[in-house]
Amino acid sequence: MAASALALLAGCIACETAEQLLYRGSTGRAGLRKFGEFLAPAIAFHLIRISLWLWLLRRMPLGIALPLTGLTSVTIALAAGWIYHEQVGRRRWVGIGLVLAGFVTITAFRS
Amino acid sequence: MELQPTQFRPTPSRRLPLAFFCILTLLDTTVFVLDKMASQHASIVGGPFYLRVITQPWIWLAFTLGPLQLFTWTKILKRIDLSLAYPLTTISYLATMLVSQLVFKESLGPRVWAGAILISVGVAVLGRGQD
Repeated sequence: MAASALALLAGCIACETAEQLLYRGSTGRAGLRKFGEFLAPAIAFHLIRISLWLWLLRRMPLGIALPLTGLTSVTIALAAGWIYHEQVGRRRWVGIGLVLAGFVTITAFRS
Repeated sequence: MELQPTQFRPTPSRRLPLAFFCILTLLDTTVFVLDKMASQHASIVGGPFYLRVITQPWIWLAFTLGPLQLFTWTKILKRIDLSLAYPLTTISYLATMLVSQLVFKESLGPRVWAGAILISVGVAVLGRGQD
């Protein structure tokens, strides 16, 4: 798998993770601060992600790129555990393991 | 007569809103296919990529389907719990793969399918929450 395609994919995953964390952070806040510090950056990450996604689709088949974006659920679970102290219980670790196994199955040894 | 607090809010039924799930999967798949079409066409015609993308009708169709996706999703969440609904959304990965094999003639092969199934199940397990 081409390094540039993987970099675009990593960008998509990073942007969506940031977006979701910002939405999570916006809960319990109100007014201008909520918009300026959380929602506006979240929307910006969303737009960057769509741009990267469309560029990625030039390089990678849709049927491969789409399942690989599922890795986002792992980065969100880990980041939310780290930043917001959301619990990563046993079942979530099993999910994380399955997603990582699938990701490696698709990307490893591909030229 | 004593009223239980649960009587004041609609209890989510145990029946799966199958029609809404089919609509959502169809919408998700359509949006992904439209993204790919916009990206592909923009690459073919040349010129600045993003300028070409936003002049594609496909991408605007995809954008207009966004609110419909959200509407369908909230309809589903009114009827069943998120922890049951979320895992089922990964079906759209597999549906999209099937369609892109047919429409874009992508050859995915057994390894990609196996990996995608692992990822879908993993996302579903993650989405069902802790325990």
